[in-house]
Amino acid sequence: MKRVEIEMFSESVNCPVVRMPERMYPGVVLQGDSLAILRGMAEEVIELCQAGDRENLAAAAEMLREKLAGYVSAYEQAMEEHGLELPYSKRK
Amino acid sequence: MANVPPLAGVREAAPTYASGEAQVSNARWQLGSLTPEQAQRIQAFVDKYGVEVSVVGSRARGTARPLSDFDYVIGGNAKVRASATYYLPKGVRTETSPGYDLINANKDPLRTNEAYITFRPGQAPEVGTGGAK
Repeated sequence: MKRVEIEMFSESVNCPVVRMPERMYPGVVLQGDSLAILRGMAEEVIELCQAGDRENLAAAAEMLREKLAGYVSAYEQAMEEHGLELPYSKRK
Repeated sequence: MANVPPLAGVREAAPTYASGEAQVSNARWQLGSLTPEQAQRIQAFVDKYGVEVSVVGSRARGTARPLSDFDYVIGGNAKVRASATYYLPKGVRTETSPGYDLINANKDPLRTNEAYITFRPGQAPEVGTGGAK
């Protein structure tokens, strides 16, 4: 294991915003279980697409969107608090 | 609930009650950090939709803080899980967190080596410590 110094822009328990050495922009740290949950949600969307189950597909896709939006929101909030530019154009 | 006996990580022997909701009302053991009202709300959801819901994380371990999220492992289809996001108890919603986490049991089954409280339709809650400290 290598120990390095990182910059921390948000100490949120669920998704801290940090900048790794030599990276221009910060990123979000996702716990492994959260990452696996996201994968499961995406897989379900694919399965529902393949099954043509539109009702459940809409619900599954919305839950996935909400989950991702939470991480994006945490990222944007931390960036704004520290006066940092986003590495993408923010949606209105 | 100071006189609650320690839980051994095994299924509690449950007397038969008319419904799961009644059972929760009469539960004498401590259900993690859940209040009786929260437990009843979860049981009501479980009874209504006929799905199994497990509370995991700090709420199941009994170590939740006021701002802790609620973590659930829940089966059923996507519409049922979407309903759960409205119906089940949640922590404090902030700009960056909805106050809950839903794990799809069809994709990531309950890990019984960690603390959990499982609610099933018409049954007493099952409490497991998972041997976690």
